[in-house]
Order: sequence, then C-alpha cells, then structure tokens
Amino acid sequence: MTEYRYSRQDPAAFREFYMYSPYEGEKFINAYENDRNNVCFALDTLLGKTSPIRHEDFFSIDKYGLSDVTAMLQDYIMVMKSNFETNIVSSLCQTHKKTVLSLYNLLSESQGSELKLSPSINNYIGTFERQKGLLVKKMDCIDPDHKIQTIDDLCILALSCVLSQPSERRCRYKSINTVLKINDLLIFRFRNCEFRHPLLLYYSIFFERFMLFSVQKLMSLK
Amino acid sequence: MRSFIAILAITKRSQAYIQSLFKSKMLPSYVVILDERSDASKIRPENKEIQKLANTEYNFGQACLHIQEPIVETLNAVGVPFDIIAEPNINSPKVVDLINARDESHVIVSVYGGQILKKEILSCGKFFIHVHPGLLPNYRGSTTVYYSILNEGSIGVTSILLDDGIDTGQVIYKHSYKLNFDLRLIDHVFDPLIRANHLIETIRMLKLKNIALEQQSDSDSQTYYVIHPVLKHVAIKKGMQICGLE
Repeated sequence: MTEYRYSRQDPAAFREFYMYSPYEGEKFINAYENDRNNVCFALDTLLGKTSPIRHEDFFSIDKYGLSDVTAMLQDYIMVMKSNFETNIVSSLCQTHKKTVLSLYNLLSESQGSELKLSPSINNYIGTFERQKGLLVKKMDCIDPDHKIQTIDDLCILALSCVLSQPSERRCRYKSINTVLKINDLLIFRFRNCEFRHPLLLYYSIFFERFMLFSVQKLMSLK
Repeated sequence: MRSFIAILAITKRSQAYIQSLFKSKMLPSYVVILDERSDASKIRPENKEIQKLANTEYNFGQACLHIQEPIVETLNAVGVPFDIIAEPNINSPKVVDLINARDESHVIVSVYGGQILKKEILSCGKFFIHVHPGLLPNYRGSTTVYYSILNEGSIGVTSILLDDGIDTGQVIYKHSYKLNFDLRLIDHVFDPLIRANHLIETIRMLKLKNIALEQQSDSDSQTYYVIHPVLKHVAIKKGMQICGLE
C-alpha cells in the first residue's frame, strides 16, 4: 500500500528530501489525501469547539463559495496576527525580532490585493527551502522550553498564511509548493514534537487543500 | 566553435548527451567523467524503476537514449579519449588541471545538480555550456520543467554560458517544446532527451553562426525550488491530459 511519507519523516533531517520523488499515480494522491484527512481529524478533535472548520467539510472544498473562503482567510490572518502580538516578546534577539516584525507587516500589507511575490516574500521562501525555518539557528543557542522553536513555527505559519492569499497566475505554483512543504514539516512536528499552534496549522492545511483544489479545477483535473 | 570537450557526471542526462552527439556526428574531442565511485565502467541501471526502462531505446527529435549503455561504453566504442575523476565536484583542482591542459574553447557541462562554477575553473578562459530545463530568466532553479508544464503547458529549455551564479549566464538559445511523450518518464528519460536535443541544436548554431548572446534580465526572473511530490503528480497529470494520454 502506498504511504504518504513526507509528513512522517522529518523534512529538516534530510538534505534532498523531495528530490527525485517517484511518480506513483492516483494511489499516491489518495495516500496524501488520507494522511491530511487523518491529521485534520486529530486537529479537529484537539480543538473541539474552537475548530474553525468542520472536519467533515474539509474534503468537500467545492462547498465553499468565494465569500466563505475570503471570510475564512480574514479570520486566519486575524488569528495569526493576534498570535504574533502575544509572541513578540522582549527576550527575542534583534535579528529574530526583525524577522517576526517583518512577517507581521507582510500579513498586514497583503490583504485585499492579489499577492505578488515581492523580493521580501521570495527571500522568506528561499530561507525556508534552505533551512526549513525562518529564524537564524545558532549552534550555541539554548532553547530548553522550545520558545524559539515555537516562534519559528509561528513564523513559518505566517509565511504559509501570506502565500495562501489569491496570487498572480505565474506565482501560484511556487506558493502552493512552499505551503505543501510547510505543512509537511509542521504536521511532522505536531505528531512527534512539542507543537503549540494547532489552530493555525488547521487553517494552513485548509488553505493548502483550497489552493490545490482551485488549480486542479482550473485545469479540469477535478 | 570548432571543437569542444565535455565534463560529464554519471547521469542519464550525460548518457543522452554522449549518445545523441554520436548519433549527430558531433563528438567532443575529450571527456572528463566525474564519478565518486571508482570504476565507472561497472555502472548499470540502479533500481527497479529504471530497470524497467533499460531495454528500450528512447528518442526525441535528434536525441536518443539507451539507459543500459554506460557513458564509458559509448566513449570506448566511438574512440573519444576520457579521464575519470573519482569525485563528483566540477570545481575539483584535478578537473581544473585537465581542462587547463586543453586547447578547445568550449566545454559542455552535465554535472550533478546544485553545483556552481568557482573562479578557479571559470578563469580557465573557456566557454562552459549548460542546458537548463526552463526558459530563462523566468524559470531559474530546480525542477523547473514541472513548473513550466503547470504554467505554460509546455517545456522550455535554455542553453547558457555558465557564470558564477545559479542559471544567470548569458543565453545562447532558448526554445519551447510541445508535450508529446509519456510524462511519467520525464525524470529518467525525457528530461535528458529534450536537453540532449537542445544541446545538439545549440552546438549546430554555434558552429554555423555568429550567435548574439543575450543578457538575462533579473527583473523578469523567478527562482523555483524542488517541486513537491503532490504538485509533481498534478503536473504530470496535466501533461498527460495535454498529450491526450489520459
């Protein structure tokens, strides 16, 4: 049976994690959908009444009209910004604080207009692709209560949130590509490590599904 | 360009290059083979997926690929001299020495992904030709062949003169190819073949004409990263639909 392994192994531990992935046809897509479905069920159970999306609706994306999705994206951005506001703590070093504030500004700026991949967003995509995190990791940095890791996860989710906005045609696939990888990484962390942003991950996976559904519909593949 | 040499890693792209160059009677006068394993002549198809493809000869335009025929076997059969360097990096001092000792002005490069030419090799005074699977500057980076299918419904290929950046060199020739093959075989068969076909066109142009090289504009550039397997499946499905194979 085909297994979706990309959220079961740590993407940060392998240098060429996604390189030379084999073509496995429809069964691979089914395995991916089952895997996402399972994690959404677990997140939904964990979130209980605070869950923003009913789990059973998760894979019936076509039920969602444009106005529903726009409203949900606004909620997503609002929750993300509120998380940032409580996490911009004085203990962060200047470099980390700069990254956090810059992402916060990107969230504020990009609402309402079609997303363009600005040099700043492109830089964050590149950094995430290379180091699977957005905060500079120092070898001597002691992080016993996972504070920096938690804020790094939040930064990654903020990037996913920025990329989830409706985007220009030519940057659509680049955005989806990074959102898929962000979710693989954070699902792995949700399953195996201390992970503190289940609500944001739930939103992030919803928008991944929505973006994928939209492009497949556009290509008449759905 | 009168004659040229080649630096080839042990890959299917290199096999397609050398077999196709032979078929088109455009052989290099010398080859450096980069191989971290010590005996390149023993290399055979490595896994089941590739073994299934091994007994067929594939063609695309002027290019051909027989996966079961190692590079060394082709070179021996056609009498092209070569050296094997037991490491994968094109910037190795041994490679630089071998290249420096040659008179040819142009070098065809087919090495492992992600390598950038350093100043030592660039200062040999040669033109290093690379065939990139994407239209430049719009598709820089990795696995751009899939992004090109998704965005354009075709595959763009660009030959460039390598510089010290990633896919930033001057453009020799670019062209878009229609999808008229089995997209499921793109990684192992058709990406190498399309690039080999483009290489032959590039060499032909360099031999016949005075080519005006084109500087890339950074403002039009977009860098892509390794495609996610889900998106890769979507691209292949779209490609198969375009070809009428699905």
